[in-house]
Amino acid sequence: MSEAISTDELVLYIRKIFHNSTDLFVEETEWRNGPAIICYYTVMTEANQVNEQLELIRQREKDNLPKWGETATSSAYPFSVSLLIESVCSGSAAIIFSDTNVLLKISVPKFGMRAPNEPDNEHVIRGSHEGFVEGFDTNISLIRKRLAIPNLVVQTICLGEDSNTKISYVYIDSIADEDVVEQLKDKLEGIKTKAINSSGQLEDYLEDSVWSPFPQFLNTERPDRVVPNLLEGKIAIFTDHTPTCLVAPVTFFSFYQSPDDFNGRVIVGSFYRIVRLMSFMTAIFLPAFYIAVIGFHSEILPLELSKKVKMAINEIPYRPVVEAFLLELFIELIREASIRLPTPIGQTIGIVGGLVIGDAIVSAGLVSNLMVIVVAMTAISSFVVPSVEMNMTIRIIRFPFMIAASALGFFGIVLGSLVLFIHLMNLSSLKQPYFSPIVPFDPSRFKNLFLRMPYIEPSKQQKSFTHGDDGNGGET
Amino acid sequence: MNINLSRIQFFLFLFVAQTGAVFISFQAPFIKATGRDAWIIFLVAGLLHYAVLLFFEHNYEYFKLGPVISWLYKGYWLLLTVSFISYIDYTLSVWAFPKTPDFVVIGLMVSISLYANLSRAETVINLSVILIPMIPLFLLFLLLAWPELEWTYLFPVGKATPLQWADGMIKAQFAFIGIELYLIYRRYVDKNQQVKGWPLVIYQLIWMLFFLFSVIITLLYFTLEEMKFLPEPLMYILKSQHVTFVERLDLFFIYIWMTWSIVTITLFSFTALFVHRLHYKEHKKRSVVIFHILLLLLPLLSLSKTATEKFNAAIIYAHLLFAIVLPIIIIFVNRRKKA
Repeated sequence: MSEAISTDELVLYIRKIFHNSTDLFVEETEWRNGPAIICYYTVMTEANQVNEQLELIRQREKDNLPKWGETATSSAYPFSVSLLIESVCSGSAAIIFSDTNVLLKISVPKFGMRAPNEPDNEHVIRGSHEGFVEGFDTNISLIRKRLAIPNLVVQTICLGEDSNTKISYVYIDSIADEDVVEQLKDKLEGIKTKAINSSGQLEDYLEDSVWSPFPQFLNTERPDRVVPNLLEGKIAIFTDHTPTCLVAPVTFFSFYQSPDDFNGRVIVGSFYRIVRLMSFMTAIFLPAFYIAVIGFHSEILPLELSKKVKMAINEIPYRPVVEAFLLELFIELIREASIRLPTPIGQTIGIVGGLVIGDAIVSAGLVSNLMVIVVAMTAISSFVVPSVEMNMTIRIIRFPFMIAASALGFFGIVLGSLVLFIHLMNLSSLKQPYFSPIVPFDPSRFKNLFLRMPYIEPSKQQKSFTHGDDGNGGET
Repeated sequence: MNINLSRIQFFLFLFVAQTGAVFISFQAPFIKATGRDAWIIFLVAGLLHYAVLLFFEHNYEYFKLGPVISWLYKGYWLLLTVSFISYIDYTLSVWAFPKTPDFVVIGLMVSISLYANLSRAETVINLSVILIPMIPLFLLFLLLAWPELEWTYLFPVGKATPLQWADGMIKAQFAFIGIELYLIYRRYVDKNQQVKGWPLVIYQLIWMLFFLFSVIITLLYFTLEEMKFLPEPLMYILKSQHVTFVERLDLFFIYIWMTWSIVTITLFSFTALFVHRLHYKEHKKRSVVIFHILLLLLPLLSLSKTATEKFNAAIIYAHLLFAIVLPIIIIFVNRRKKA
């Protein structure tokens, strides 16, 4: 800083940098060795705490302590305009000593923050009901309190020339794969953008196949879902001011696991995991199967059912695929409307849409009763997935299957399934196989896909009541 | 290309390649040639299969393909794949798509193989996994015929003439098709995993039980007279099954078989292109596309019933040359060179 600049001129200069914003506080203050300037945003910094900290620092200076500016919340740096801007914009107070060219940064930010309540899109029945919030510190504290280990590493990088968004990635050093961590770091450092507004945007930059319908990062707002993933060697990525955490590398099957599996009993958890995986099949294939049966292969139906189906579809003027598209779009409209509206109205829309219009559309002869059953079953199946991203993916990819079935019947479904399967095998999440344990094929891990295995393998029960005998029933 | 296979990946690949395209067409010519002794002759053929596997296991390191021989093998696998496609298309036009143009059905099947072969090698190698749930389903469907099986059809035994035995051993070779892939991929199996010994015995047993099961079911379901009129007896068995949940069980089965066959076509295409890349590393995508254009065009030349039957009959001799004779020659020549 040029010595020729007076304090008043510096105050004016700072005001100019911040465009005379009304919420900017810039004042000269007296210090023992001369004047200093205090600068902070009143809406982002706790003024009372700034005063308290200043008192403390003044006292430390008076006591002639060697590093009097360094406290738990403050640090001293050589002055620079960029540091001043970064400090003030991130909610810190900057104290500038023009004579010594020092900037004292006091970090006492004040942001509006909601409580870490359970996220609305990831409910569980048993277990923790905490969720991430829009603040980085709170989110990391929610993880740290569950993992009280020094190996839990948090690294932060600022991205976006304009937004200067803090992106933090968290991993357990002793467990996470070094190459994967390095790769993520390289990818993050390679992002050149004006602004990062959300975790979804970040996901686009980080995904290996951005055009795939399948999510390659697990999105979650639940700390109890992140922690087991960290313990499996995965990396959690937080975007500042977003409650959503991205977890990678993940597999396709990670999206079908829920904290409920592990909070409940082994058999119950396993049963519902199997149900969820089955729901993937019904959500994608059921409408396509119905279209193929009605359009091409009605001879597979048992005679009794065949008669009823014929009677139901005889009065319908449209082809099954049109019927299916009509109802599927109708369901999508109800879903979209329910999300945007306040909860009570959203529920009403669900009831009106589902029951009243559903009944009316059948009475009007636009679609058959059977199609309503098929589409309702499909919708329910798609909502079973404990991941919003995967749920949406499934909802979208059933449409190509419906078209394939209407063009080629079962042959179309077979071809579509093979394409889907090959696509899933080609995918990767941070260059790790997405369809593991199918690629690479490892049957020994198959049981973990379908079953929630017990935490502790039971050891053999003692066979003998005699004291001192071993587990072989006393036989030597 | 550097690939590393686990033992299970290797055997699954081999099993699907060996069973994929022949498991519904193999029984009829075999039983017609051998009569009631078919199952005994197949048991003996199974021993021969195991002997071939043992020979391959002991000598696979000597099986090295030069550029000229590798072109011969690529030609063989191309013809084999073309014959599979012709047969699948012919069967589909009889059972499912009488009015759909052949080039549409073939084009769609070939496009799947093209997509897989343009993907990474691991994708094709693991593609067979999709069939794992289908194989027991297929066996289960066949077991539904259990109450209708006539066990006395197994007898009398030992009536086959030497000519029938010889013809039977030749016809049993349909089930051997693809065995040469053992020599191609064995060197890429993880060195830390044991293949010889029990793992090889287990593979042999699975292969043999699979085919023997289909032969015995067919033998016990039909009389020899009936067999003369049935090109795909397994399809008729399934068509005859009455279950409450569907009327035509065979329709489900034909699509299981179709998936199986498309995967097999993809595996053989991959093998041909894999061997091609051992000598010609450039223009990977171009060679994949050219191979698949050939796969699309060549079957269109042989789509009549007679042409398909002749083609299939001729394939067995090509198989004997490329899976048995040539490997033996190559192995012995290389062994002598090394000695």
